[in-house]
Amino acid sequence: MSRLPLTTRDRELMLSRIGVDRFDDLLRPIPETARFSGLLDLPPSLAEGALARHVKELSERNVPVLSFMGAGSYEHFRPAVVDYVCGRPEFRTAYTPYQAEVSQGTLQTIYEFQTAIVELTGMEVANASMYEGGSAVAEAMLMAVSATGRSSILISEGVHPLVRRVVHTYARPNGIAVIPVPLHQGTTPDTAVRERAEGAAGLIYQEPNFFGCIENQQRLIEASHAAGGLAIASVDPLSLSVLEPPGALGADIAAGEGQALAAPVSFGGPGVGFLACTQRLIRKLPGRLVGATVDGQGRRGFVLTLQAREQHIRRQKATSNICTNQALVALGFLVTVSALGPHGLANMASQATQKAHYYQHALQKRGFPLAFDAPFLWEFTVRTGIPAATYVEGLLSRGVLPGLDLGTVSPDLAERLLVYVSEMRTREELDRTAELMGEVSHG
Amino acid sequence: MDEAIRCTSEHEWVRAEEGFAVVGLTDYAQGELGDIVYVELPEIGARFEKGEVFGTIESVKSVSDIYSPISGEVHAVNHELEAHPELVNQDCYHAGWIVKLDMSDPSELDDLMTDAEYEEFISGGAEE
Amino acid sequence: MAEKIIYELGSPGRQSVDLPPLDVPSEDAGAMIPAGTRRVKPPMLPEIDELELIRHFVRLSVLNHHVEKGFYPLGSCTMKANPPVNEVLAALPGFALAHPWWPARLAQGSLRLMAELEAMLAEICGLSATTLQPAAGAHGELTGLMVVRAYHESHGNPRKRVIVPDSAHGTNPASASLVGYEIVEIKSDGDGLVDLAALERALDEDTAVFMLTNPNTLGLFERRICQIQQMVHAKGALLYMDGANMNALLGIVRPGDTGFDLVHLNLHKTFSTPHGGGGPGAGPLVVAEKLAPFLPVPRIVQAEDGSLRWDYDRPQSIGKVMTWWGNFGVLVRAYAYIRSRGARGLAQVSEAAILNANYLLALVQDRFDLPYPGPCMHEFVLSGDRQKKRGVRTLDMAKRLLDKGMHAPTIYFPLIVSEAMMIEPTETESRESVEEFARALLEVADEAEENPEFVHAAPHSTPVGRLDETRAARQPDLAFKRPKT
Repeated sequence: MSRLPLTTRDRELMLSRIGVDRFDDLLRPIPETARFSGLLDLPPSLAEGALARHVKELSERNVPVLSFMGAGSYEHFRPAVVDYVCGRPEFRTAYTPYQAEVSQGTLQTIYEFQTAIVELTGMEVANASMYEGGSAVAEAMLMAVSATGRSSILISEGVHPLVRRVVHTYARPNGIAVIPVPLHQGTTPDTAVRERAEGAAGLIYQEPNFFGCIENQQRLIEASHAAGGLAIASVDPLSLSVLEPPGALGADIAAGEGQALAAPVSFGGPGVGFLACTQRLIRKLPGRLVGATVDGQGRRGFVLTLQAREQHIRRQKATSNICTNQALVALGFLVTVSALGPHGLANMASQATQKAHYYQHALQKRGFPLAFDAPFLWEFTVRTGIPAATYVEGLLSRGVLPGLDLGTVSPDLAERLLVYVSEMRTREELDRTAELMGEVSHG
Repeated sequence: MDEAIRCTSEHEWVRAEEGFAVVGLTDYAQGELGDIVYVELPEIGARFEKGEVFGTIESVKSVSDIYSPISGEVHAVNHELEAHPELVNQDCYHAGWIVKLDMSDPSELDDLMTDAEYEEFISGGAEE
Repeated sequence: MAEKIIYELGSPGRQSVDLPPLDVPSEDAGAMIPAGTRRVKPPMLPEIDELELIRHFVRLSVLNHHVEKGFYPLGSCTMKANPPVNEVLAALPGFALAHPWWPARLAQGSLRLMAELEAMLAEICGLSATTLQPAAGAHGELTGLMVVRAYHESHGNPRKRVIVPDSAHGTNPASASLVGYEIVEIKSDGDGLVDLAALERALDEDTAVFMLTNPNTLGLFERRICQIQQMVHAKGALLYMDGANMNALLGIVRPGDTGFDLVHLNLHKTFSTPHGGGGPGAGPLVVAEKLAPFLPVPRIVQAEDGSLRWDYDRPQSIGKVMTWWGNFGVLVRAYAYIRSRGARGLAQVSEAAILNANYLLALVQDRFDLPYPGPCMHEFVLSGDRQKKRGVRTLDMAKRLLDKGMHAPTIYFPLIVSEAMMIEPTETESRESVEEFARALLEVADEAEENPEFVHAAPHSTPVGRLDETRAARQPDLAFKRPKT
């Protein structure tokens, strides 16, 4: 282990300067009954080499596979420069930029991140980041409830099931009723929204939705607005390089998970949530905001601003309890979109879409039709005829994970497989996997 | 300070004008808050009871509720404050007014402090 | 000269990296993405070559103060060293490439690490169950209060109120309010500790929980903790510990042993994971046996063959506070930290943190007001009242420290100390480094007497001077817009 700097001699000098004989004298405010007298029951300490070996062995107990699983956590090409920049200690070992004069690096990158989110989502304002996508959507719900003074929210069943679970968790203690809007042929009918929208604070939908289907955003937004509610879009940031952004279509809040463009899947975290809204809602927006200003000499600089919304000032009246979030991953997001640029991002989105369609045709030929007619990008749902689990088991023995068995999400979807095709999959991998799928169905 | 105004212990002032009650923040309050950066205004037509919160006022490092000094319906709001919240600092009794209320019971005015009483109230270390 | 915004750099057509050519037959994009759905106006994103991109971020990075550059005594934030080996381990491909929804048998390594970390944190806290799901300390608090609510509901009444001391972190009342509780704030006593009489008056059958930071935000151990826990539990309320200051207690006091029912920890404070300029962190919640049924799903359970799997069958669970399972990459670093230190090593951490704080206090206490005398635990709070009389405020002294290559302490917190400076040196600073900071602080005290104007105008040598926060708030400029040409 890395050793602590204080030597025996240091300790003696320091105790004498403090004016006590023994270290334990400093602990005299702790009553004897509160003291822990034993030794914590922990595994023995490991020196650095042994530690590295041990943890590496643990990591190798995970089984690498060729994966077609997305469902909210996406493997994409990650330019090497992303980790190269994020690894800099100046970013990694600083904290929240409370002292702006010595935090301009972090502050400016956050401003640049906010700009990227504003540009991608088409919204007017974005915050410095959220923990991750699910809680960002839940906070968006709280914003809508606060802005409208209404106490129910509609949520499309096309929203990721675990995100819906988070929304329920945040809603419950606040007495907010969460009203599901069922899908029809894989997408959210605006008629179903209109039937339920009366008195609701808004509608939460996901684009593309959990099953990969592209929704008719425009009609969903109009349906929620017609009843005086807000429209909250949960979006995949890469999709926004090719799909019309929610802001351009009139949505009030856009939220989501930025992991796909920032970090490896890493067993679900850390990713980076984002939250963007219209100017009108800015004082309902939780979390940190960085703004540009000037110093006494007129030099441009950046500060945390509109802090009066936040917990350290408003305490129980704050918009949220959020303080620290995911700055370093937000930086990773910024570096990724900067390294690829608008054309590189669109190319990544387009290649993933092309490969997904190529692979979908290959599956179709082998007897796996699309479950829904709606257009899709790089994720789609197929019918498997028999339980999808059979294909997952069958292909795992060959080192391939063919997708998410939707039966694990809902028993009535047991014969559906949710397939994600990264732009990193090669034609050979796609052909081989389609073949394996065919073999299982004939095997 | 203006002779015709009445004040609250929450540091709002109110002045009867053409049958309406004009409401703002006292000079003492704006001085304590420092640079005002935002005033959240109520909707026109909204009704407030005396003592109810009708808006908030934000400085760089603080935010305070604004309480309605009397009961009534919002007749007008000072939209100038949306772009120029600094008016509350610069001219709190005139250009920096906040709302104009249609009073439901003008006699409520009599319960409020006169400016002389208010002066005494703030010099008495009211907050402590 | 200020560094340009990245959107001002580069030139149309430039790009740092590209993908290989498409290796499948290309279809008509119009057929795949219908018109009306397809994006019309592309986003304004940087178009920049890789060297210029790297230079931009390198030039920005050097404007930051950070732990690996200099002293960072930000009280309550525990800015300790971040062991480099942990960065290597968190990036291991076996972890980084594991998808969160993999069938459990593919992810036994990740699950094993999480299960062991849960158990180690429970042991450190003297409690029985841990959830690693919360992404930050405030998120852990929120989770904890949801658990409190669910616990009381299971007894037929969610109760109404949360009590916090007036020295509490602002997140405590904010979190309580997010789960629908009213907040009752109680004043601290003359020693800066919980006033038992005030607590007694505030407690009743509608009290859901008393949230206490221990050591408290003054750096003082709540020495009447045993009476406090008896009083709280006598009303059927729960006792919550904000674990922000756990760096003082490792192996010295286990919160569970002193009557706390639940504790959130900040892995980015106590357990050495990097702060990242404000995240990612992790805020696990550790609870007593009776609260375990309410923890977020899924829970990790062990099958008969020793393998681990997720269990969603927890009917009393509050649900989920995050889409996946927690900030796994942060958990790897904390796991590695605890495994490297072991039981004795962790106790040494807290001992050294306490020794450094008391030594620093001894070096500077004659020159500042100290409203609540020590010994302190891992941090202490000075008041700048003496300097304020000379026209120098704590904010000014904080800015002057920046000139001297040090980060400032946490200032104006806790709210119960006027002109507060909350100072936490941490155990990874050497004696010489603590002394160097003490010298800098004493110099500032000298300057405050001899040349108050100079201190008032600080900082003098930072990349920018004091920034106009009023302008930033009145005319919010929160995103770059390309000037119209």
